[in-house]
Amino acid sequence: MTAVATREATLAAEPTHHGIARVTKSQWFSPAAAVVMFLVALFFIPAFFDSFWIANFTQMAVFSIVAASAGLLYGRVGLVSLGQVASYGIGCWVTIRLSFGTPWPFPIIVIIGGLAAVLVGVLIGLPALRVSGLYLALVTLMLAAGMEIVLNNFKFANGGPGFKGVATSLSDIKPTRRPSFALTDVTYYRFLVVGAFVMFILASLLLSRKPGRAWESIRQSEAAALAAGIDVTRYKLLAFALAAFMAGVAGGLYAGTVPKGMSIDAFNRQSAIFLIAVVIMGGIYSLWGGLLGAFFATCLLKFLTQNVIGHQFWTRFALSLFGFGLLVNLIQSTRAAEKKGIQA
Amino acid sequence: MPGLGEFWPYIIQGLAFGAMYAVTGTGLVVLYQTTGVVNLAFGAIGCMGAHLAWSMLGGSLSKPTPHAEGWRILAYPLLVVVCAGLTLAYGICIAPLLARRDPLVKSLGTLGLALLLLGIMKERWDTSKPRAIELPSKKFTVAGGVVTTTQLVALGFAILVVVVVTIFLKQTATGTAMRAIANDRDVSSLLGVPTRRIEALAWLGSGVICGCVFLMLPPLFKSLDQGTLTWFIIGALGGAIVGQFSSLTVTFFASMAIGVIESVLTPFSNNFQFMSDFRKMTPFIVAVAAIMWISRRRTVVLAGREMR
Amino acid sequence: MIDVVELSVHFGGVVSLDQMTVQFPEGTCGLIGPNGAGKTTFFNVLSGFVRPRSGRITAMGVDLLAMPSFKRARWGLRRTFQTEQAIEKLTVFENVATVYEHSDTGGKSGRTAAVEEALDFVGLTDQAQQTVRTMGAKERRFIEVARAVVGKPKIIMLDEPAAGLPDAETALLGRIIRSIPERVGATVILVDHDMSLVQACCDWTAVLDFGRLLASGPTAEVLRDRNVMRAYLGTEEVAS
Repeated sequence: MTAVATREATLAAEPTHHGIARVTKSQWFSPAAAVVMFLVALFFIPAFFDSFWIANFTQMAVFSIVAASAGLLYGRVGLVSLGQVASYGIGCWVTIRLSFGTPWPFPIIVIIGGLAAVLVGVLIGLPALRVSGLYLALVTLMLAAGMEIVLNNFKFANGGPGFKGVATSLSDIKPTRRPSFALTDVTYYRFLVVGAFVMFILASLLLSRKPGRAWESIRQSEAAALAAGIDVTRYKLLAFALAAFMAGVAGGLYAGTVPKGMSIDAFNRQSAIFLIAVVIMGGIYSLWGGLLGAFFATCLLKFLTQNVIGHQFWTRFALSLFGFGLLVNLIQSTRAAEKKGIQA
Repeated sequence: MPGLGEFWPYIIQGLAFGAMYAVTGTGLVVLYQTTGVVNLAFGAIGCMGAHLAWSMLGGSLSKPTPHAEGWRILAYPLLVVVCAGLTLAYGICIAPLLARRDPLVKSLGTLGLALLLLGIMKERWDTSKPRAIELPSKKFTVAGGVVTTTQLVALGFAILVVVVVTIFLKQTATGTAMRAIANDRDVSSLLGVPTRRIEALAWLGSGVICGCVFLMLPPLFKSLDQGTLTWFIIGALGGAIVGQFSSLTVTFFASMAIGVIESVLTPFSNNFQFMSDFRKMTPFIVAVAAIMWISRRRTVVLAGREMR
Repeated sequence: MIDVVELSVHFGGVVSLDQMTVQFPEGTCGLIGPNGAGKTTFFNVLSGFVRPRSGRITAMGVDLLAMPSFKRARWGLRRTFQTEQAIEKLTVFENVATVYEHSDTGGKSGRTAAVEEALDFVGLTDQAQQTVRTMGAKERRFIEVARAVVGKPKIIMLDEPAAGLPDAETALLGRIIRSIPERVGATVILVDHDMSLVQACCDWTAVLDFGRLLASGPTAEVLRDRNVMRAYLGTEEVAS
């Protein structure tokens, strides 16, 4: 769901003068496509695929939010953050902990998880967003590494006592709670699809309005943005906060997909690097890129595993494929920019 | 509260790891200044070299810590050759394709390389099995604490590298050429500096440094763990960031400090459980502090080119 | 009126602006000088990208150097750049609207009217919904001017707005620039190397040389000034 279409919708809604409000066909394609996609995901997929594939599409739905969050930071604001998995992990940890510690409804604790991620994101962002993009990337990479250490130490709650909520004896371990309206795998999958749709709409709304325009100005030239009156630091922080919220919420939603014994594999340093490769391969400018990248990383990979070569080879070698894919992508975009004669 | 005598082994270990951070940092800074690339694949390349060396030493499931016998001792120099070769190969074949992009994109390219190598390593060497490489090492007692040869060599090597590189950059023609390129690549090229050759040299040098570091790291860590080795680079970034990727002296001292602090916090984990893990966040905390200091006066980016 | 008092800028060992003191009157003012004279540096100081070693700039009773960069723009300081910075992926309308919605006198209400007025002023009304990426260099320069005049700007800095434009467009741009103070109420400072443009638009001109004010006054007089000619041509023998 690109921002362009919703932007057009906004302009058309304003009282217009003759000649100003002209809408081109291609721009109306996107919200329609998004709604169709949503409906297909919600109804068609559960009807057509078995539980194995539903599980994969579930992973894809969650991962697409994280991928879109990293993609929008890079593609729409020009900020490379290698630390989105940190927000993902925080959201997941907080949601699981609260699911055991409180009786609050699941959607609420997922949102709290998102907000916790925002808190950490903004704290790091305050200094890091005022220095060069390279330093931002490096510091966020270190943040991801740091978060892996924290999660390694804290472990995920599983019904035990204390702040961390980790139970030591097997008998005390309880499964993570799911929302009462989404207890089965299929209903939880639908819940996730709705959640992903809501996150994408949130991003689109911001992208199609004043923040999105400010971000595009910043992306092209910070100096020109400042000269246009844009508070660059504040808008960068806003983007950072949005991305952290999206990834944090995704983490909370992810919590419900693993009944017991959440591992930190999805939140480690390797995943941080893997994520940026996935995002760049899927496409950073459009939010669709998040979906495409997630598709590559989950369903396509599983498909290859099932049907092409033996199991373990692909899951391990997948890293190499994505590394290669990332390089190819970067080289291609360099060639394309050189052809156009612009400084990429 | 542990007495000073108890700290000694941790200080030594800290100096050794700090030395490894410092050498890595030096390699990172010189390469960045010459080519604009932060080689984030440094750890992956080194890890690959170390694993190949392990296999060549005769490592296997039944022999997780192989000992060099006869011709197998060539595995050690092979480690350095492999690291240098891989780094140089990337520098000659792939880096030029991204040469016109900004440093951030060029560094993302090295992440691609890192992933590529990680996948191969995961496939070839099962991560769940323990492995180790040892270097012939004696133990000494210095001022009441135990020191191993490896630690001394690591420390000495770091000092040597910093001194040699600094002299090289200031006094030799090639070093001056490197500084010229770092300052302004296009102008240097116009002045007749063989930029491609110099850059290749910088990549090669960085690769040799990588090999040497990863010759010493597995013995210092007492294990050959893919995660720890590959992502060693993240810890080394701390020192380089404090030095703002330009001052080798600052990078050296910052790296040493980070290594020592990280290590010295270990005994506190007896009293405070969380310390044992969080001391590993020292590079990150130092880096954030450095960024806060650097950002106190904002820099403005004029459509991609940094204005200082 | 813009009051510049003893403005000095040092880049390492290079003195870019040397105790520059000048008062720009209302209307359209020219700022000329040979390459390296400090014109763009002055603009960068005014924009807030370069911190001066000393000096003060006040306009309409406001100490401009005391405000952070983007706040000056919100107050009403607008600028065009030598390499045009119209935002490629947005439409012409959105480009102009962005500046309006980040200004102190802007905001949500009256946005459409203000943008339409600015587009009408530069003659881009029909291209309002076009994406800038599809437009040529000429039109982009006019978009830049539209971004500079939208709403209620107070000071407009034009940095070589006619660079690369053919004569016909330059003349059109000149007419537009000349009418800015009257229609928009802002003081304009125009930096350009095209003397015919400067003469056509600006009643008053200041000349910089080596970071210092060399001459200032009515444009025709300044352009005939011997010191000015010497600064440009290096010799007193000049055809008048």
